[in-house]
Amino acid sequence: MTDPATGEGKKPAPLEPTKTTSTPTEEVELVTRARRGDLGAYDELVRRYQERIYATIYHMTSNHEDANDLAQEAFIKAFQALKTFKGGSSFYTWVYRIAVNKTINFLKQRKNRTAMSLNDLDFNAEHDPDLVALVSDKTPRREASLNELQEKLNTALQKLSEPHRLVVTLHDVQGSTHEEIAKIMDCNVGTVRSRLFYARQQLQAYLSDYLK
Amino acid sequence: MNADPENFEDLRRLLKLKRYEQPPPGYFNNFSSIVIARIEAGERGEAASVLERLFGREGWWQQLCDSLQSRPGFAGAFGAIACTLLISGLVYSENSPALVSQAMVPVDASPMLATVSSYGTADSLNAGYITSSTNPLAPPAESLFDQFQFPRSAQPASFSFPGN
Repeated sequence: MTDPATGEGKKPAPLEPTKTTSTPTEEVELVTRARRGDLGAYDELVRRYQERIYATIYHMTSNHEDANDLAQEAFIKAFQALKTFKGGSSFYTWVYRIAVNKTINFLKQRKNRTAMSLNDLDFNAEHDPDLVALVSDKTPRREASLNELQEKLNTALQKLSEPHRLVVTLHDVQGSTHEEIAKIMDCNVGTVRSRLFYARQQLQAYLSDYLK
Repeated sequence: MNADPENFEDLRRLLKLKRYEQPPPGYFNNFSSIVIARIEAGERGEAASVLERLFGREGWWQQLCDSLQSRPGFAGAFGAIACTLLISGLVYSENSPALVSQAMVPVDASPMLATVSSYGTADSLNAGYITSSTNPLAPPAESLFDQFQFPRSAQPASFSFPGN
């Protein structure tokens, strides 16, 4: 996370997914203004959801440049399609669906190209007790080990199918509930649970050397 | 290290690592500005393309050249059509001499044209006078008062300069 005011990289609590503090009424007001062409209102909406949208796409693609392009395109497409937004779901869920569909289409097209462009690990990762416990004591340099784990983890995630990767990303990485994921993926909660279980099994098999 | 297939605690701990992957510092500072700028640029581009479609900012020749460059198939088809038209034009012109002969009718063959042309020929000049008329087809005025009664009618003008 970054501080928009100072431009400095500030990472207060990466383990907690960003939750919006706006009331639904406020969001509806912003959406109404944006629909009338008020770009200031839309700028505010983008600021609210940019980090979560970017993060989801990044975890799906394991590529910063692709995530950057896709996140921007998702917000642009959402603005262009704003007139078709009926308000049946929240704007957040709606824009999330656009981003997810765009990402899945992109991943289907780039099927054979799996070049990763991973973001750097936050400094706090070295002090996370859960991660420290996972790192082998035999490794002389902990940082190198974390980077290695990061690469293995991303490689394993890329082996999952897009729906399974999405469920793991949304639930285990970003902390979304089953219900939220069901809305985003437009399926029922049971499907989300079964996909999550299968995806975890697959990942566990791929990463067995790194799990105790 | 065998993991329990039903116990995903270690895996979930490992997946926490993903949350520490962060984009470059300051990345989100300009993100929304870029999105808004791209939206504005898209709207401007859309308006410009509509205007172009309506009024054609580029000439038709330039558009044709551009489309030929971008689509080789279209260029080939265009070339074939152009060649066919040229060849058929040549063949048609060679096979229809009657048309050509009709088009090349001598001036004297037409009585009306012959009458008109006789006024400005070298023969008439040699005869010692010049005759000119700005509207030889207009009916001649019968009297001087006609021109006041019908001010809009064309008047015959005929001048002769004998001895010149």
